[in-house]
Amino acid sequence: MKRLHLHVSVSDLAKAVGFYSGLFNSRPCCAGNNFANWRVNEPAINFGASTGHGPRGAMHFGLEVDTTEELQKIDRVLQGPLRSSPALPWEVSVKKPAIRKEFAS
Amino acid sequence: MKRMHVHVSVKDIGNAVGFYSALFATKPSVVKDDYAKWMLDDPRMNFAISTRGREPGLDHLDIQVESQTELHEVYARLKSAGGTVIEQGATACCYAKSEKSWIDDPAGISWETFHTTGENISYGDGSGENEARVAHTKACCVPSAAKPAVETAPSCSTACATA
Repeated sequence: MKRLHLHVSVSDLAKAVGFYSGLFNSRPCCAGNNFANWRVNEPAINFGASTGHGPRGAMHFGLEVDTTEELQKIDRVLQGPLRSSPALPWEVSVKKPAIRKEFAS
Repeated sequence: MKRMHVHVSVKDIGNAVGFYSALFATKPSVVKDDYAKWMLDDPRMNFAISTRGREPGLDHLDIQVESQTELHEVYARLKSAGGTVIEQGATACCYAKSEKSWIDDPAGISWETFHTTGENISYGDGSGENEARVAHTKACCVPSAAKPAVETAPSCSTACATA
């Protein structure tokens, strides 16, 4: 199953971990000094927050797919006039192995 | 089942419908002159675009629920998350009639939680709420009584158990 991915930039990671853990009713699945990540099933989302990436806000959206074939299929479709995403940068990534393709706004 | 909702402000509905229809490999379930929506099962998501925002970009995020029970459960989550929760109540926006509440996250992004009870013939005026609380002023739906988020007391300091 595909999963929405969203990465946001925050100024205070500890505060962000507290907020999103409450919102998702779930602790981060992994975290470091400057990032935390939640994998939530309901609602289905891979949500990341990090510091040190400039102004706070949404950094990029993503579509996490299960296989390299799915990624390649989307990559083939998003060609030509569809190459750039409207309004927001999107990336498509495969869960394992870590391969990603970016579609900049 | 709860579902992520993303609302993105775009300049050109036609161009954006083309991109997102390709990305999701699905045509939108609703298309208007100023709005389009995809109700997806894989990924499970309600993705909407509109030209109602002042500038292109993320308008707001949301946890959409399917019942009053789930709505009150997510309301409790908002309170647990910390910050100022704005209970909008019944409203008409985005061609739908809904009950919703709002909160700002630490990235400055507006999150709503809502339960839709029916369609609305027009885009709706958000019951009078207009003020932005994120990157730009929205044309609809966001309550104006925004205040800075209240500090929470986070306790998760290290990498936690895997989900």
